[in-house]
Amino acid sequence: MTEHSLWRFSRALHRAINDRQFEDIEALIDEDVEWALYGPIDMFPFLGARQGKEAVLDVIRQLADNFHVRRFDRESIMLGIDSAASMLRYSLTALDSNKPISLRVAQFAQFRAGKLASMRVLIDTFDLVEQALGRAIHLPKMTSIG
Amino acid sequence: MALARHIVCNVPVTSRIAGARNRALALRGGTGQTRTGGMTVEKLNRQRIVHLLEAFARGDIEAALACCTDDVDFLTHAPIDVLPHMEPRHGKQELRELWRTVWSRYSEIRYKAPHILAEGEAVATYMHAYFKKRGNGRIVQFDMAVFYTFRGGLVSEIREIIDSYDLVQQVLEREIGPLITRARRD
Repeated sequence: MTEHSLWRFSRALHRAINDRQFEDIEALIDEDVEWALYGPIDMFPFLGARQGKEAVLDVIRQLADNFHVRRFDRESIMLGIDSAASMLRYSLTALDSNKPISLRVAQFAQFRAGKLASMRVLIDTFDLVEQALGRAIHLPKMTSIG
Repeated sequence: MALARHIVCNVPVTSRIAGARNRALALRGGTGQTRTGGMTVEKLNRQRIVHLLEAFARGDIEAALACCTDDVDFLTHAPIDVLPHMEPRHGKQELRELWRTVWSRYSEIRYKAPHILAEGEAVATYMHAYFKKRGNGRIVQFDMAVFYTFRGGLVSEIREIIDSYDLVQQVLEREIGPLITRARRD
C-alpha cells in the first residue's frame, strides 16, 4: 500500500521546524500552493494567508525560528485519496521565552501529485494568545451578545 | 445536497457492521471505503452531516438533534466569559439548550462547507459560518473545523475548533488588542 502524502508531508514539516532541514519539505510543496493559518497576524506575523511555494517556505522558516515541537498527538484523522483532515494537540516551546505552549489545531490538507496544494489550519487562537502573553485576557462579561 | 434532504438519521444495521470493518482498516492504516447496500458508509455519514447542518441552519433543532445519540458529547474551545453557552455539553438536552441559546441570539445562520471529508465512522468539515445577530443585524463571520464521530448511524461526538480570538472580537464588536495593552499599562 502506498503511503499517504500526509505522512510524508508531516514528517518533513517536523524535520523542518525542529531540525531546520528544509530540503524534504521543499520537494513536497506545489508551486501554486494555497496556505492559510488563521489567527491574529499583528501578534504572530507568520499567521495569515499565503500563496505560492516560496511564501509558504518562508512561513515554515519563521515557525522554525520561533518554535520547537516537543510532541504532537493526532486526536482525529481522516484520509481521502488526495486529502486529509486531522485534529491535533501540539506541545510546543516558544524559543524566545522557553515557554511551553499547548495548542489544539485542525488541519485540512489537499495534495496534487503527492505535493501539498492547499492547507487550511484553524487554531484555538484566543488560548494561543493567552499562553503567549502568559496571563488571561480579561474580557467584559457579555452573557447575552454572542 | 438534494439527496441529503431524503436522509433521515436512522440506524441501518449494515452501517454498524461496516463500522467494525472500518475500525479494523483504520488500525492497519487503510483508507478503504465500506459499502452498505448501494452507498458507502462514508457517503452516508457525509450526507447525514449535511442533513444535520441544514436542519440546524433552518432552526429545526429537533431534526438536528435526531441525528445525534442520546449521550452526544460536544466540545468546543472558546472563552466562556464572552460565550458562556460554549461550555462542554453532554447529552441531547444540554445540546438542545446550547442550540436554543444560539438561536435566541442569532436570527439567521448559514454555512458553506468547502471541505467535507469522511472516513469510516468519522466526518470532518471545514466551514465558513455566517450568524446574523438579532440585536443589531450585524453578521458574525468565522471559519470553523468540526469533527464528528458516528455511533450506530448517529453523531455521538462533536469537536469544534474556531479561530476564537477573531470570533470574540466580532461578538464584542471591538478589538481585543487595546484590552491587552491597557492591562499591560495597569
